[in-house]
Amino acid sequence: MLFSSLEFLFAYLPVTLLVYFLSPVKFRNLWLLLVSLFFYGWGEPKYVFLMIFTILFDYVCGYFVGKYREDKPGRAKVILIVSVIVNLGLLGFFKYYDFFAQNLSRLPFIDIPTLNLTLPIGISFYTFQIMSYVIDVYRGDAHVQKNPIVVGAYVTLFPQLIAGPIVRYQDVDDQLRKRHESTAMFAIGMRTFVAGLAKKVIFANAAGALWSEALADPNRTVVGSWIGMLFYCFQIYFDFSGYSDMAIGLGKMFGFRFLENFCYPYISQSITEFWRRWHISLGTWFREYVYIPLGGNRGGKWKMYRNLFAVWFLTGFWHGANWNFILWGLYYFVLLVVEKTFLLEKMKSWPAAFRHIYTLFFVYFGWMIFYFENMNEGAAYLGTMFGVGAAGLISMADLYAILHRLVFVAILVVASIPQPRRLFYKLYENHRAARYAAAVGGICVVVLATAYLVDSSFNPFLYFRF
Amino acid sequence: MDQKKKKPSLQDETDAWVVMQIKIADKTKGSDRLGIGLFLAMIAIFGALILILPDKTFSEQENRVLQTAPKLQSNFEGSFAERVKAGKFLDRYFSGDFAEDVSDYYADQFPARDVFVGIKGAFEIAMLKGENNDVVLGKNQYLLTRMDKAATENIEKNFDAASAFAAYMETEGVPVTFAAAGRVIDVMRGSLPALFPVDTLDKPWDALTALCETDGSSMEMLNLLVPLRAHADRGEDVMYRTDHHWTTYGAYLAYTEIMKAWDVEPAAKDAFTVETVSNAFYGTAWRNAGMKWIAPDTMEYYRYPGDEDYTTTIHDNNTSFAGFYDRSFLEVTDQYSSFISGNHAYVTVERNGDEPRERLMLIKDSFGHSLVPFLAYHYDLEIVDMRYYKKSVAELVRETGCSRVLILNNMDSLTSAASLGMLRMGIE
Repeated sequence: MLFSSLEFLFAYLPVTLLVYFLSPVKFRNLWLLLVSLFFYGWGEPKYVFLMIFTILFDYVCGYFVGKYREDKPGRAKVILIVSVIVNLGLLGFFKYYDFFAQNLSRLPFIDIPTLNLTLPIGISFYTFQIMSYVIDVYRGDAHVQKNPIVVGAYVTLFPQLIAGPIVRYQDVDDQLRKRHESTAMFAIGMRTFVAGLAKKVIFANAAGALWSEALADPNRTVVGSWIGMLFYCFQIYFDFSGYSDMAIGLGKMFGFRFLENFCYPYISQSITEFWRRWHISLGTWFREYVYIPLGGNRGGKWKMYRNLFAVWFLTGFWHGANWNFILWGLYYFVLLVVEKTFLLEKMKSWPAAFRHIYTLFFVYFGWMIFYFENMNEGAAYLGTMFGVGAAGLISMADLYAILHRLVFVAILVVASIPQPRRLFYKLYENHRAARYAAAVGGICVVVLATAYLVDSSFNPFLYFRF
Repeated sequence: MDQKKKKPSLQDETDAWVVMQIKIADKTKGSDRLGIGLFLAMIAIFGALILILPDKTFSEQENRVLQTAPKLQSNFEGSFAERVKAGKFLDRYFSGDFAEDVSDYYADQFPARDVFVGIKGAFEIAMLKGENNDVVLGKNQYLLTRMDKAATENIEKNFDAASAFAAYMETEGVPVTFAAAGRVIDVMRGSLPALFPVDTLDKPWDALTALCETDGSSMEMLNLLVPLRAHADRGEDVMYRTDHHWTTYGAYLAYTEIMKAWDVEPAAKDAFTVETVSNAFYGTAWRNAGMKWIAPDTMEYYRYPGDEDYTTTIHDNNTSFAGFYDRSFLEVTDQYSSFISGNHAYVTVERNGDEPRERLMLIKDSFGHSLVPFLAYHYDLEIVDMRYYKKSVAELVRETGCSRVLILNNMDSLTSAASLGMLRMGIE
């Protein structure tokens, strides 16, 4: 089920909230588990069984890892390794089997049939999440959870189940046992949720429609190509950060505090900074569970490069079973290594605007690599950006489009930078009237988002397939 | 868990908004409650209304069947055990069909759906996008449906079929005229906002002109766009503001052009009495646009003495009525269909009595409907719509003894499908 759907907003959410707050505290995790499984199975119930298997398997692994970690660390380690292998094995099988089968079949004498399995929704997210449970228990960063319902609720928690943020077990360990729902917390979560809904339904979908239009245009010009790609940059940011906001907001409504996932990535002044601001929970996961265990930056320059390579190869590959995602990961590996070795130092003397342009330039082309799974299509698009196969530099249609999208783009820019929001926070903090205005404004946004959902059929979620 | 780990500073920055809200939570009780109350009321009330309100089964505005209450399992005759055995227990839930139906159900049955559609349309215009759902807001409240993506390959297919048909008809001594009418966005070019990319609109017309110039048949070509646009530029209401058709006045102008091409004297405008039959015609563009503040159109009939002494016969369902108008359509949304009762495969319009009249075969799209009363002034009409008529037209011309053929389509019909291809039936 999608958050940005009428059936979620007007059926699933009210029922879930109503029963949750009417039930005694001890049943609340069970209710969350049940509705989350229903949420997960919506439209494709068969993988619910895979999910239940994963939960029980990791519950048992976590239990024994916790039992043995003090007295028999060797045994605990074996169980941990088994758990990691099984989890990654399932992810690998469902997500990467066809990729390997296709690529290996290119070698002589090898012919592996593909399976064309549908990817279990959110498998990339929940696999990482449940692995963090067993690992955190092994490391002593979290207690063993004796109640399988709680482990199940942690993994399936519907707000972040499908597209993150990836919540580490240690961050919600306490909240799963005892959390404090309150009016204030509910209101905070609701505001975040509504903001995310607007980002997704009003901004991302409209930007996405403009990107599709540019892609499909047989008379695409040079300027039209650049603008089209720009809309994709906006789409992917508002789509994904909107989803994260909705997830974080829903979490707060139920008393969970998930960490933020985005922090104005497009204001970054270096690629290094961009990756501290973009999809923070994924970066944190790779740092905590891959980079640091491999030795991080201890052990010399070359080891650090090796570790960075591993992290960025995996980051790319995690985004999809395709070469372009690997290329995209390695593209950032190269940029980050260049920045680490000398560029960051050197950039300190650059004007801020220049640093910003440099960053956005590479992020922009990064999204191009990211988008085009078919390299020929990507090359053709890149071609029109530089005049090859383009229908001229600029057309009347471009001028018309630019003129009529100026306000929309201005809104997108305002929503991507922190200054307007900081001003709003200041007003909110100091003026009662602003807070009441925000309450009324919030419901107006919900009405508007509903209007877009009722009217529109264009509502894809980009991060759904990961 | 111990809290010894310090969070990275960036997290503090993103969290600042939350931290501040928690800090001032004591002061925000009132506004928090208001916000929560409004939000919960909205999702609960609309959520309940969808379930409580009776389902609509058909949307007249969109002309389609609406999704009604979804079913969890398909119909099955037999006991529960037999159902389970046959794999029909909750089968629609497990296949995902139920989820899809629920999604359609919520979109189709949403309470006050039109109001929400209007809110979206108003917001899009407020953002100065100038259009919504591919409908451009033009000058003087004109709603112009965008047609930039019209491909030219269908024109060629349609034209070639018509040309082959004309060549065949020539051997039977029946002249064929091919008339192309402009889309609203073509005729009302003067109403388009500044910088609108009209070059894409010209493409199909250029393609048609090129085809006409190289055509080898004796088919007569008639461009109805140019004369109608000239009248529109003078501020005359040639096209509806809210619909994709020409007005009755526009149809009259087209009629005079056609008659002139055939060297027949058209009836003067004052031969007709203009009857205003509707002041509340909301056309197709209006329904897509979501711009609810746009005023409705006026619909007129050009009446003349004796125009009720005709019989319109719908062969599709073997019904007939007197005159050209089915006024029951004036009570519903689709008022344009009151002309010869809308889209049918094959219709005959004849004057009552025995006096023999020349018979015209009209091969048309819906633009032809409001033209019928004018053509019937001179001819008895055999009317076919190639989108629905799947038999040989050449045969029909012979059978009914038509002495002339008029192929009339607007550019949207010519570009969006190759339906004239069926004219080839029975000529090869």
